[in-house]
Amino acid sequence: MNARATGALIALFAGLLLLPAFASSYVLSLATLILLFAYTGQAWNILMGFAGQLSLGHALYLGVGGYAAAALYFHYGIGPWLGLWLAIFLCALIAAFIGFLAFRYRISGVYFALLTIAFAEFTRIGFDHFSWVGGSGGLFLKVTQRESLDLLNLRGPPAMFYYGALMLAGAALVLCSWLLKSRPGFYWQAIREDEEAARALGIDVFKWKMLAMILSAALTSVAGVFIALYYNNLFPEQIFHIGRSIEIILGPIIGGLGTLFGPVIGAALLTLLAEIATELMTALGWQFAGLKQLVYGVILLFVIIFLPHGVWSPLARKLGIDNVSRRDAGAQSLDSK
Amino acid sequence: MTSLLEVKQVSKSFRGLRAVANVSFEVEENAIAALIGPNGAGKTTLFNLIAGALAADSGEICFADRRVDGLRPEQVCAAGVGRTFQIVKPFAGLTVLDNVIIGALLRAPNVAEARRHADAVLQRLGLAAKRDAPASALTLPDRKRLEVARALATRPKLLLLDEVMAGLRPTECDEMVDFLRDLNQREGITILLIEHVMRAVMALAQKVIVLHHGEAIARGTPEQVVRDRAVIESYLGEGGVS
Amino acid sequence: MLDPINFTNVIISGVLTGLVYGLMALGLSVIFGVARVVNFAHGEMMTIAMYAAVMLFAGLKLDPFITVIPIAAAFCVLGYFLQCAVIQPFITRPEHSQFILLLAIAVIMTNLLLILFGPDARSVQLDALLQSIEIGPLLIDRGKLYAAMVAAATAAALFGFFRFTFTGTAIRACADNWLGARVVGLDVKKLYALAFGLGSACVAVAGCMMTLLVDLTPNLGPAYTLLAFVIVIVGGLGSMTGALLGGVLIGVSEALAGLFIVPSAKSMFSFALLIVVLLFRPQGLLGHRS
Repeated sequence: MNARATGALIALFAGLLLLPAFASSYVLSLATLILLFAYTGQAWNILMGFAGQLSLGHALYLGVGGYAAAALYFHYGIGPWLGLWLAIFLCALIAAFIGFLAFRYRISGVYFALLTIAFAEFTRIGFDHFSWVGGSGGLFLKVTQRESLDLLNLRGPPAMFYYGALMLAGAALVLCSWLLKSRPGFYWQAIREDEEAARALGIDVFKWKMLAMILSAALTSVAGVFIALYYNNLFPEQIFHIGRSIEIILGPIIGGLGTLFGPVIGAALLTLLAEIATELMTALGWQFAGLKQLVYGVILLFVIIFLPHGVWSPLARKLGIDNVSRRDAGAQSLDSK
Repeated sequence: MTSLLEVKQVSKSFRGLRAVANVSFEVEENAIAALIGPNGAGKTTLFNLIAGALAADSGEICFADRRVDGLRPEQVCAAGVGRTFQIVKPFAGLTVLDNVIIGALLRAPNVAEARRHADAVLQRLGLAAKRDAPASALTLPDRKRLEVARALATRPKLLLLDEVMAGLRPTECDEMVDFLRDLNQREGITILLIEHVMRAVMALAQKVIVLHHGEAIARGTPEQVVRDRAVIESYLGEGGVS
Repeated sequence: MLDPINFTNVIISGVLTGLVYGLMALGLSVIFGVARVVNFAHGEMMTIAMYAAVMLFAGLKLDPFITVIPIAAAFCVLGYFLQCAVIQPFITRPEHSQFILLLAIAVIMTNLLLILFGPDARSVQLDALLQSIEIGPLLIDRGKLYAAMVAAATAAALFGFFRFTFTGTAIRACADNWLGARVVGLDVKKLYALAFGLGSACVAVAGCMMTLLVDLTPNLGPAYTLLAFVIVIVGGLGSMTGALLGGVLIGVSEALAGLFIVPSAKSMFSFALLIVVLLFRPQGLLGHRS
C-alpha cells in the first residue's frame, strides 16, 4: 500500500473509533448498518469475488445463524458467546452439504445460483412452520436493560453494537487481505478464472470450492447472530427472504467483486444513497414502503450497466491510492472473460 | 532407457464416434516425442486422456511405473505431468506473475518460495519484464510462453505441449524450439508434443507417433516417419516436409 | 381426506392451475431456452400483467378474457424493446452479469408495483365464474377451467407458430446454432428480440388468467420467478412440451401437497423437487443433455 492509502486508512479507522462520541443515535445506527453490510459483503465476496461461485441464497446462513443463537438464549438462557459456536457449526455443515451436492454434480453458474435460492426458500418456508422458534409469528428476545453493558450476554447500548460491527468489519478486512495474498486466495482466483486450467496445475478444485463455501457461510452466520441480538427479533419472512440475499450481494457488486475494499465502499455508498433518497422523499411528503429497495435496484442497474467492475477501481485511481487495488490481484469484473 | 510414459491399447469413443482407437506407444525418460496427424485424428483427445481430463473407455496409461488412467487431472499433475492447452487458457484477470505463482504453489511450501520460483521461470521464458502485466494484455506468442511457464512452474517430469508453435512466426518458433531443447537437455524434462509445424517436429523429436482417425498408423524417428507411405497419403502429402 | 371424489377434484384443479403455470413457464422456456436470457424478472413481469388486468377490470369493467389481448400485445412490444435496448449488450457478458441485470430489473419492478399500488391484496371477481361446473359427482371451478383453456389455446398457438411459420423456424434455428444462423443470413438480433417479445406475451396471458385464480399482491413476483425456473428445469430446458408438462406436474403436486401437508408449505415441495432435479437430472424430464 502506498503512503497515501495507509494514511487515509488510519485516519478513517481513527474516525470510526471515535464516532460514538459525537454522532447522533441515528447516525450511529446508520454506521452500524453500513459496517454490518461491509462485513456480510466481505464474507460473500470470498465465495463469489474470490472463488467465482454466485450464491444468491446467503440469507440462509443469516437466518440459521441468528435462529441458532437466539433459540439457545431464548429457551435455555445460553449466552450468545456459546450460541455463536452452534451458529457457525450449523452453517458450516449446511454449506458443506450444499457444496458437496453442487460441486460433486458439477452444478455451476446460473444453476448453482438457483440451487442456493431453492435451499434458502425451502428453509424460509420450513421455519415458518417451525413452532419451537416461533414459526411465522417470529422469535422475540427479551429486551432487558439497554443502558448497562452486559458483555457476557451481549445486551447493551447501541454503541456496543456499533463497536461490535466495527470489529467484525475490521476483522473481515484483515482476513480477506491476508487470504488474497496466500495460497487459498491464489487457488480460488485460479478456479474463478478457469477451472480446467486450475486442475491442470494440480489444484483440487472440489476441495477449494468447498472451503470457500464453508468459510463464507461460517462468517455470514456470525452476522446472523449479530442481527438477532441487535434487533431482538427474528421472522422467517424477513431474515431468510431473498431480499436479504440481494442486499448482501449489492455491496460487493457495486464496490467491485474480488477487490479488498469493494464491499466496504459499496456498502457505504449504497446505504448512504438509499438514506439520502428516503430522506428526500420524506421531505417531499412521499412516504412509501419499498422506496429503499427501489433505490437499491436502480443503483444496481446503473452499476451493472455502466460500471461492471464496480465503483472502487476507478475511484481508487482518481484518489491516487491506486496501489492498493493493484495488490488485489486484478479486480474481478462481471465484464470480460 | 526406461519408459516414463506408457500408453497401452487406449480407446475412447464419444457417442459412437471413435476418437482414439487402441493406441499404444511409449515415451522414454528424457526423450522428446511428437504426436502428429491431421486435424481430428484424436491427438488432443489422447492428451486429455493422459492428463486425466477424460476417462478412457479401455486401456492403461502408466506414468513413472504408476497407473494414472482414471485419476483426476489435479492428481495427474501432482504425479508430475504438466500440460498446456491447444487454445491457451491464461488466468486473464490476474497478472503474468500471479499466473505462474499459481503453478509454482504445487510444489512450493509457501507463497514466498512460489514467487521466487515463478520469477525464475519467467526469466527463463523471457517474460520477466512483463511480470506485472495483466495476462489478458499479452500477445499470442507471449500467452503461449506464459502457458508453458505456468506448466513448468509445477516442476513436471513430463511436459505435454499441445500445438505450442501454432501462430508463432518462424523466428519465434525457433526460439521456442531452442528453449524446449534446452529444457530437455539441462533439466531432463521429458516432452511430448502435438505439433503441426513440421519444422519443429524435425528439429526436436527423437520419436514421432502418427495418428489418423484415432489410430496410430506409424511410429519411429522423424526421418522414418516422413517417408512412411501411409503417413504421406494421410497427412504430409507428396510435397514432403519443409 | 382420501375420499376419491375429493381427490379427483383436487387433481383436476391442479391440472387446470398447472396449465396456467405451464404457460408462464413456456414463456420462460422461450426466453431462457431460445433468447438465452436468464430472466430473473419473469415472475415480476407476470405480476405486472396481473396488475394491468386487475386495474383494467376495476376501471373499465373489462374482464381479463378481453383485456388479455391488448395486454399480451403490449407485453410483446415492450419485451421486444427491453431485449433490444437493455439486454442485448449483455449477451456477450458472462452469465452472472446478465443474471444480476435482470435481478436489478426485478427489484425495480416489484418495488414500483409496491409503491404504485400498495401492499393490499386485489382480485378479479367475475359473477359469471361463481358457479362451478358439475360433471357427475365432480366439481370443477369455472374460472379455473376457462383460464386453463385460454392457456392451452395460447400454448397451442405458440407451438403452431414455431412449427409452421418461417419466422418460428428461424427462431428455433438461432436457438440451436447461433453462428450457423448468422451464416445463413438470419438477423439473429431481431429474432432474439422477437423471441423475448413472444415469451413476454405468454407471461402476460398467463398473468391475466392467473388473476382469476389467486389474489394479487406486489410481492408475488419472486415466488413466480422461482416457480417458472423450477418448472422449466424439471420439464427440461429447451423443451416447450416439457415446460407445459412440468407446469401441470407442479400444479398437481402443489394441489396434492396442499391436501396432505399444510397448504402454506406446498412450495417447499417444489423447491425440493428443483434441488433433486438440478442434482440428478439437470436436463429435466424432456430436455436434452447439451
